[in-house]
Amino acid sequence: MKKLFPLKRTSIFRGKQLYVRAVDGISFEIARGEAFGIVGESGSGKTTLARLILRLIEPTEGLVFFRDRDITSLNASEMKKLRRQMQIIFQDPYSSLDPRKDVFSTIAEPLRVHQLAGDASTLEKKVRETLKLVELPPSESFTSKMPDELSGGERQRVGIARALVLGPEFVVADEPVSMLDASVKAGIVSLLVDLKQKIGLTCAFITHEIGLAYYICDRIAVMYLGRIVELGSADEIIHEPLHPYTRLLMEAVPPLYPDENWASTIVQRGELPTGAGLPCGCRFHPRCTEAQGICRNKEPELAELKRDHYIACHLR
Amino acid sequence: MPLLTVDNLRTYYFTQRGAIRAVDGVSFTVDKGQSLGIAGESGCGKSTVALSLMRLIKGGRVVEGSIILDGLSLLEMPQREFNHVRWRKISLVPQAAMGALNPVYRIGDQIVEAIRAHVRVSKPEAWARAGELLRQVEIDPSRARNYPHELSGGMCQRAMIAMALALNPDLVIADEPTTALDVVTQAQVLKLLRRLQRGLNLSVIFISHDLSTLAQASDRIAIMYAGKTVEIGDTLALLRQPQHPYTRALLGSFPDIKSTGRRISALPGSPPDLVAPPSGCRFHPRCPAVLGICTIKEPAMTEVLPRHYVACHLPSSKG
Amino acid sequence: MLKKRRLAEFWQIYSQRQSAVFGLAVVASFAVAVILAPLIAPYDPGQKVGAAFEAPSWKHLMGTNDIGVDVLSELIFAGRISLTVGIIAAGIITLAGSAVGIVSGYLGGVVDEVLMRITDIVLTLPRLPLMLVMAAYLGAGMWTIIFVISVVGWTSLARQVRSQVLSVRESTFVEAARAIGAGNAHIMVNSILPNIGGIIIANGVMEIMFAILTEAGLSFLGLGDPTHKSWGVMLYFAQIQGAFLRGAWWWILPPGLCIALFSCACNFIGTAVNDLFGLKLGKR
Repeated sequence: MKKLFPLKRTSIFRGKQLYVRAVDGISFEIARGEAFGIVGESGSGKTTLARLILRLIEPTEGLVFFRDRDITSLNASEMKKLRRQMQIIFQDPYSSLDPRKDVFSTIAEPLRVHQLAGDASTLEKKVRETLKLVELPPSESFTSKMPDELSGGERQRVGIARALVLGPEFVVADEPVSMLDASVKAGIVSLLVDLKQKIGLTCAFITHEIGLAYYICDRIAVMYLGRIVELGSADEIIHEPLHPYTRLLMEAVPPLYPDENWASTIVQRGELPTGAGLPCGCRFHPRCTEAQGICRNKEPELAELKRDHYIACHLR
Repeated sequence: MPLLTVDNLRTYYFTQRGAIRAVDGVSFTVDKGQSLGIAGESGCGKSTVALSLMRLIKGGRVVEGSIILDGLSLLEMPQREFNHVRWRKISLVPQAAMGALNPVYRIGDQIVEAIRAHVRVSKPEAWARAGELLRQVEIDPSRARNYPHELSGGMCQRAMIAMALALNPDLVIADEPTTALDVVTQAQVLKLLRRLQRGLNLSVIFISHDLSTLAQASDRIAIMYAGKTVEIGDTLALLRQPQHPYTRALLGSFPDIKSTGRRISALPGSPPDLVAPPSGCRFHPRCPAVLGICTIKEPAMTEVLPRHYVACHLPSSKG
Repeated sequence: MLKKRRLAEFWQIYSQRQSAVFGLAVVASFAVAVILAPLIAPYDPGQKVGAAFEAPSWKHLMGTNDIGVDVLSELIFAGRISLTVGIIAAGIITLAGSAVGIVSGYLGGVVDEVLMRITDIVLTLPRLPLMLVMAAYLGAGMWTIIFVISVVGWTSLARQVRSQVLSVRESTFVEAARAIGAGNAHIMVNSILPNIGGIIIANGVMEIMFAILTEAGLSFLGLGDPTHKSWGVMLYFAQIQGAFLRGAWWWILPPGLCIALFSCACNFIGTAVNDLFGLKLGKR
């Protein structure tokens, strides 16, 4: 069953005559109840994509469908109503909470904005329920705390609670654990997995850590410089990566034991190009060990290579 | 004879609330040509250890302990003498290279400045040395004329490494050198550091919160928690047979791509307040195997396996 | 959301500064004295109670003015006017300036352009001549002065608020508010305003200083309301009735000192509040 059905989408930020093509022609679908991973490094456009899906930024071109409905053409009040169904968890727990609001106000605010607060006791009940959902103490002493009294993990849980209090069907998690310590990360990741099962949450999980994506997600899309280069089930992407960039990523992840052979072929593969200057043809070709003539001239399209496994490469 | 011996180091920061016992009895050694990784989460004191070694602590001071580098006692010597030692025998690659570089000066200028601040050489000599250093970190020497914003993150980090190597120190401290970098760049920088370590017979203290990074970059690993070292051992041994519950928990929280279906384990609670840390073993409030004695008596570092030390009351087990 | 604990924390840091505590003490004393004027003033300021130009004595602690009115009594009642004008004008400036700053800073675009150009125009007009002309046109009086000070004084606050808003606007939690579905008005009031409250309060206090000094200046030039004497008006009368020539320092010094002291106190408070909020923001 189709849940989210974004079609070809391009977003271009203007800088004088130059354009930064943050997200440049992305299409994919997310099924109901699925955890969809979007993996990419900085500059891949994944953060922009997160905001485009929710229309926090307007696309320059293209459409986003939510439940078979085109959300890119909705007006402000219709969009506001729709936001109850689609929410976002932010990356930085230290800046995503209003420093002047206590825990209760932060979680209650979405309800107030949508006039779902009811009377004081109803509101309290809803807030407490949501706190329990994210494994935080629903007590008064906790809800009166201000963000600077909370640890990173607690803040992030409050952020998740805020995203869930309206009971959305779909949540975008933008690098939700990248700023947390290792031991705290595990807790939040476990929470997200539990939530997916408990309340059937559909989720787009954005990260630069491919290991995490593997742990949480059913399917993974690998992004590079604004485009998807490979898309498939988590198992296949991790264990049988086809695209040279995906392979590079997999190789670059250090294993948890010393390995002399690790990353031995990575040595001189250049770095991500910065700014508006994109390579012509396939965007990855300057760093690709297998690049051929055609790669320099023509950009490959995302095509289905095996069943449900798509790749944008001339060489496969 | 180890190159560096740190014994019972205690560094406290003094605030209105009280003394923050950031480093509270840390001991370790580093041999010549060896890389020691210090792992721990934020607030465990690892950066404070680095700053203590460089005598760069602000708002606090080293209250106890000794640091012996190549026979010299670093904490006891007068400031003038230490200024002579700093950068020549021990140097630092700070966190967040992009921010550590002055944006209005060229890379070459900054390396030259670092050199000439410590030795009397002419500008041309210093520039020549800067070019050499850049080549060593695999940056084209002509890039010395670039400004930091013209270099990528990975190159800036390598430029900082070059700066740290300027006077051929015996020991380099790298404080989270790859944290802000992309995974591919990270791999490149790590490999470079390993090559430099081996090629120059350099001793390195590598600080990171990421155990998998340390697995590749260090010969020995020290795990820190709440201002104390809880486990120290050779990298392979420590990762294969972790003795301390915290080390195990840390290892368990990394999703392992290589094996399928392994669940990551979460550690409840958060690191303690260092003004008033828990009694006995500081980890006891979060420890899954806590015993009565753990709440009363602080465990001492004992050698449970050859060259493998743990501070824990629990009997050692096979990891 | 101010709670007792927050207030206590606030006070703890604030009270560490001697100047801040001093400022608060001065302002508080003045406020109390001025409210209790009828009770503490020794005489009725409208009545002749002694000879003209009497030097200070036990009977008249600050002597008398040209028509034999007790200066001390006049001073206390004049304080009412000065403080009222100061606080009301500062209040109007703070409200108007903040509103413009927040709307302009948050909405950006055309609204920002228009509001900022208006601000620029007002800023480039020469203040004193403008005030004199307006006051002369509208006729002397307390409300004229309040009006005139407000019209000219809101721009500085507007700009400062706007620049703070520009930076708060980029915060993730503001983006979070938009993601929840909050509209612009809701965000401006609930997310932006509380986070710049500190700057507004600090500047608001400074505006009191600005208002009082400006009022004193205008009154001294004769545009004050002679029926509602402020400290500035006292000085005006002192001047035209020859106090300076006669050496009647007891008529000149008290109002002058009051103006200076109160302004100074406001300055101390404003600076302390400013630093305190700056500290709190940087506390992370």
